[in-house]
Amino acid sequence: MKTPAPGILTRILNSIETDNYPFLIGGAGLFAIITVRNIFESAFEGSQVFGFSVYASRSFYMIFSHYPLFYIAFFLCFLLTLYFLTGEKMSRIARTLIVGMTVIILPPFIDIIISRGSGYDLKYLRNIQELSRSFRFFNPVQDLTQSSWGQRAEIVLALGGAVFYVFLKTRNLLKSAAAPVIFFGIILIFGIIPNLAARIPADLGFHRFSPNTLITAGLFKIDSQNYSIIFLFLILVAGFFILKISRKNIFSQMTFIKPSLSYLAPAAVGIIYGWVMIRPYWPYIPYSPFNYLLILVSLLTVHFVNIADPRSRPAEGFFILALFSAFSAIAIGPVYAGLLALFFLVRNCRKPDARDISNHAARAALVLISFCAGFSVIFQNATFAAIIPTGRSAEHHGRQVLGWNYFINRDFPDALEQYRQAQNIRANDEIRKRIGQCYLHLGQTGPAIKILKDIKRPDYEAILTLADAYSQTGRIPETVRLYDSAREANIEPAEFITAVAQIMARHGDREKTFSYLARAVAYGIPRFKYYQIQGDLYYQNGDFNAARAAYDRALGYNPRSVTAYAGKGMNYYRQGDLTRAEGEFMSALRFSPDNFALYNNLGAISLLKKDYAAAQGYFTRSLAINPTQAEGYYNLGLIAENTGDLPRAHALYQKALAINPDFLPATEALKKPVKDD
Amino acid sequence: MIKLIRFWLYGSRPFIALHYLFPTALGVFIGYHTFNKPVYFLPCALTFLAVFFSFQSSIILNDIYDIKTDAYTRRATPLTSGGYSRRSYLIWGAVFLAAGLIAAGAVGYRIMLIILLGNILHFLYSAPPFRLKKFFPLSVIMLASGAVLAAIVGYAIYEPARPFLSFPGKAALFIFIPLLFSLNFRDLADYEGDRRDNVSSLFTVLGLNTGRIVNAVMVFLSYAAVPVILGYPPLFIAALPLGLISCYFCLKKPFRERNVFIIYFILVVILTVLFNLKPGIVLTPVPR
Repeated sequence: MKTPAPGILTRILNSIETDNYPFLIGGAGLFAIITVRNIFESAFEGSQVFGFSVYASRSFYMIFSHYPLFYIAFFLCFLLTLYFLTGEKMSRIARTLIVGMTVIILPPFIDIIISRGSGYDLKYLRNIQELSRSFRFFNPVQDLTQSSWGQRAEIVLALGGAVFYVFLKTRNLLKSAAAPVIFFGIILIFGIIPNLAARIPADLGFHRFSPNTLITAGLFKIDSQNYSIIFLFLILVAGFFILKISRKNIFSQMTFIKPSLSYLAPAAVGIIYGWVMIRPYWPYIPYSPFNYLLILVSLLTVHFVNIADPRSRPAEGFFILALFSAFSAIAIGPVYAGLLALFFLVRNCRKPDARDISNHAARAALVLISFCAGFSVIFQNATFAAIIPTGRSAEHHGRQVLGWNYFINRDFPDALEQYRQAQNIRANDEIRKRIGQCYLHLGQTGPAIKILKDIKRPDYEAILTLADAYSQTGRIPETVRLYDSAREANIEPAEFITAVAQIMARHGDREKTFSYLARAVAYGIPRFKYYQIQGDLYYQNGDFNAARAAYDRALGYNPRSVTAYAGKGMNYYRQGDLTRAEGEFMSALRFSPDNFALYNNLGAISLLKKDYAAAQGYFTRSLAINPTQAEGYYNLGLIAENTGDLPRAHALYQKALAINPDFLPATEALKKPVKDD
Repeated sequence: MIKLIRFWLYGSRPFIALHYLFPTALGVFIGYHTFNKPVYFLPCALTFLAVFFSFQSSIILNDIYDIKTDAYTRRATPLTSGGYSRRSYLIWGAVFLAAGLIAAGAVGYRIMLIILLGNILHFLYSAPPFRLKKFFPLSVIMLASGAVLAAIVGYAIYEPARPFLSFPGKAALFIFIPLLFSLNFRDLADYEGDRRDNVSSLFTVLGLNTGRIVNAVMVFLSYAAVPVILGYPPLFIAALPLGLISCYFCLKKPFRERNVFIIYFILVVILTVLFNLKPGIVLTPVPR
């Protein structure tokens, strides 16, 4: 009996699965696809800043560490799923998956078209509530804030691909139906796992830092490093399973720790030493789950670098170890990466069988390098300054770490204190910038301007902060001059020219607004931003109908524009239409649920409606998000005053003044007498 | 090294290298005029070097994976003629890749990202697991996109923050559409090798004779499209005759790639003069 000829799909699949190329080329293909996605995502989605960030270091970590590791972890989990469902050879599934992964290139292109040039913010799911809402993902008429349309297309294609592949391999309907369910589960888990891990300390009773701070800051300066560590851990777990199934010899080699003990021990001692050294200044080090993952991953990386032998054949084992180690070392930090590269060179240049002095010297060097690498996990760029406990370098670094965590946590008074102490030891531009930002957040524009002007080589953030401080004190010509000089120096010209247009609009200067807007268009300002700034101009000049029309056009281009909704809300507010204003602020809140200014506006509307309970709720929520805003306490004081609780009102006004001594409304309010009961 | 230069000078490679540098120069020209800034000589020179080296590394990658096709068509490359071993040729590729990225990195991180993107697209085009050159018309779309990318990298010297979104659409079309129509002619010489290696091209899809005619028509259309896209009808005076001559060279046997390139360069020279006289032709007017 003749077997039926395979269909065209089977033949295509077979040609993909049997395509003959080495492991390294397959890996390069996967990395190429991921990098294309990342580069175009940075250009088209979110803030549309090419490279994701104006800072090369941040951008580098996002494009070459965080996001690739995210997709590689996905790849491995999908690989395992398909293996368990089909029983096919891992190498054949991997080849198909690499081709299938091309769907990840689609979202930036789909989104830029659907959003009419604005792109979407692609974020991780923040909590279980968002996770549960994700099941509405398959409703094609609903615009979900948790995902973009491109992501939906990408995920639907991935799920469809899973069904197709499993069915073609097994002809089993149950398994074919299980494949997309498991795939979607993996996608959801990956979408929420970073924020879920960051919530662990809070669930165990640690509330000094928010989960957002833990995932953003911690020991690292760049948030993507924390994310990278999580995905490295997931890669390790999935990778071990895969190797245990398909490459037992490599698995045995990787899990045999003994040859590395003489280097793992000094690395562990280095980590402990760093931990002890930083603990007095960064006492919260034990409370972050990411630090434990970091230690685990860093020690395993030392082991992998030690056993990675470029002369081993087949070379696949070496490539696996080398690739993991390279990604891991880069994620942990440049000093760690440099030290491990040195370790690798010394390890592979020495002659292990020689019994001469050079071999002993090489072993001693390896022990020393391992120790330093361990220490660098904690002290990062300050490793060589702090490793010998003379001077105050450890304190200098530790206080900056603590200051940075307070800063991210919006505890600006505490952050200011830490940065000041670090400045007393040794000042640098980074510390000056953060001190200036703390002052500005606390409403103290005078000291902010003073210290920001001392920065010798101001970077993008320093310029932005100083200009903000000028703007808040009404020094508009200085603000514009600062932005113009930055633009002349080619520092984010698009950003700064748009900022000037925004300032001009908010000051009602029609001619200059349009002049700057015209130049901003040449720099690629998104259409919605163009109309939103026009709306701000009309609003400022009291032309409310024109303002509303402009905001509507902005929202036509970007239905998720928080600034356009807020502008439209303010427009209604000034016209006295509080109900519609409230509706617009509520709409804005859907896309920016942590926007304290929106809660303040909603509170102000409730206050005008004399709904004090609701107003109290909004202002309290606003303060919970940003506790350092004088306006929030002042508004709560107004409620207390309106409900006849004048002593509480005065206490709240004083609290507002404690945050910002220059806050005039609170000073005026305090002049009223307090009645004793 | 001298051996490598000798191989490099063989065939159409200097022309193709120039072909990639033209869009970069156009990108610089657009950036310079749009933002009214001075010509940044050093960054521009480094960017040209980066594009050049990046293209060289792509050629090496292509030669490595096209070794079978090149052997069929008797195309002389350092590999098919035995001048280089695969390994040493690959090392040269890595050196060029690194040189391109270093030169781009010296201009700026974002310039390096664009150059890297170009290298990645060439990798996806030439090498497995994707080897997109096997899929017509995706192969031509990728080559035309590569030229647009070369223009964007020149433009990004002036506008690094949103180069993909702010690059004028008209200029992008002006590069992309004519190249999409015309680049098929490069597959004509590889017809036999492509057929044996299962690489689909205009000629393997339509057959050699029909393919030649369609290719000639498309090359003519690519010339005719230039004045249409630029919205400048006087340019037809130059574009139509050049299109016809190019069409003739595409049909003439034996086919000589070099002749088509020479006509193309004549158009480029005319456009260079025209753009300098009337920059508004290629620039998108800024709305007020």
